[in-house]
Amino acid sequence: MTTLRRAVELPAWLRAAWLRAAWLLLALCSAALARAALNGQTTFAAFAAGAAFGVVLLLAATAAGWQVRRPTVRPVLLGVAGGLVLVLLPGITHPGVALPVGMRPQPFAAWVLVTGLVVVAEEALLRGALLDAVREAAGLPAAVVVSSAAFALMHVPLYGWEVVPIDLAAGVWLAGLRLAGGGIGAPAAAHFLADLAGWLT
Amino acid sequence: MVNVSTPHRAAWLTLGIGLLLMLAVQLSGHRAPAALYDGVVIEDPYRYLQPPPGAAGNPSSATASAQVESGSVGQLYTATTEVPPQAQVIAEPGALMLPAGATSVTLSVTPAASTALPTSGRLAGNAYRISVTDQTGAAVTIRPGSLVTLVLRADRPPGSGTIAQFVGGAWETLPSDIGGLPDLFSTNMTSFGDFGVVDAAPAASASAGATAAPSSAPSTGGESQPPWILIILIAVAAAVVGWVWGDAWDSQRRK
Repeated sequence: MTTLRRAVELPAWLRAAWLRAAWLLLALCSAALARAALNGQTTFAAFAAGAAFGVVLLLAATAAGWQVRRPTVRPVLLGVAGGLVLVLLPGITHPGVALPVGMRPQPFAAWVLVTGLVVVAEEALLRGALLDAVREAAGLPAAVVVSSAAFALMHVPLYGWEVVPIDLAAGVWLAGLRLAGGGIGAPAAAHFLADLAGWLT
Repeated sequence: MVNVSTPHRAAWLTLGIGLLLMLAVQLSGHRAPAALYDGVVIEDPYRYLQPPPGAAGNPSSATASAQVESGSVGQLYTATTEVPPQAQVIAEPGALMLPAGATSVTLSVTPAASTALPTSGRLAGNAYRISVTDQTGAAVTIRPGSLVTLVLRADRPPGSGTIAQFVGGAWETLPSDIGGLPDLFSTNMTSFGDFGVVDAAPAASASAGATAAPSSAPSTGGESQPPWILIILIAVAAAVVGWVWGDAWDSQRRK
């Protein structure tokens, strides 16, 4: 009860922001688990689960106040540069090491559409609505840490714990692009470029 | 959501921290095979050479050929046709030691019946025979110190998986990395031969309801071991940086 009372006594703006952040994280967690459960072993199931995941994240971000804005050229160019860093860094740090080829889901056009939707949705929720909510509640450093941790953990159900370190670090990088670019255009462009490189390599 | 008041200093500081963290992860020995793990995940059912009841069979083989030019062979790559491939081999340019008179080479990846089981654990999928021969059928070997990477897929995410080579009648485990998904593993070969993924902790997988037959459930990462030390190090580093940064941010705001 003490905790509850203390919570009630907090300023309204703080409570609102924390609540917003909390249910955004809850929505993200539920959507990631549902996607992993529905992913299945067929192309249709994977595309459907990915698309549904993206739509749910977009709805959650929109409900939290995120608004669609047409990105301008500068953030997109910044994002392309940031994406090149993501793509080239493994090769620079391990020159000559051939990278494993993962998957090349077909048809490519459908993969681009669904991946584009997922990228924009993840960025709208993580680097858009969630980063703003946590920054409002606890400051920018906490916002960067929470959004990056959420980005890393949301990939665990599909890709395993091994992805946490690199996705945690990449989450901080994408948050930096968000701050440098002003909106989600820069991190979305970088994120999409990195995913596209994953398909092409 | 555009916040024009966000100080550029915070943006560049965040980008700098992100870059340092990514470099630290890449250089820590936790070799990440890709910048991000993302996109649409599709995994065909595993194809067994000797399928258990209800499992898919007829795994594919793969070959790649290249001409010898100036006494050397360029990059060689081949992969089986499953999604994701159950076996992939990537040899960097100049990685092969060629017999005298070699004018062309052929890299072959063929599923092979396992002649023996691992002494502990289980073989998680097919064994694959990797060989390279010249135009006469003479064996080609790997130049010491060269990179020839093998990526193998396990039939399901192992409890503790690693690639092993069948040498002298026994399976010898090789240093392996996760290859992008919980059931993909990669290693750098020093010789060609028979390879497979050995799951050293099959009991954990069996407790999840799967024994000899492949799981029909989507692969998830829940069974792989998290790199706890690296995660904790990064979390501590992030907390320290956040704390220092928070002070700097507050000071800047007060000015």
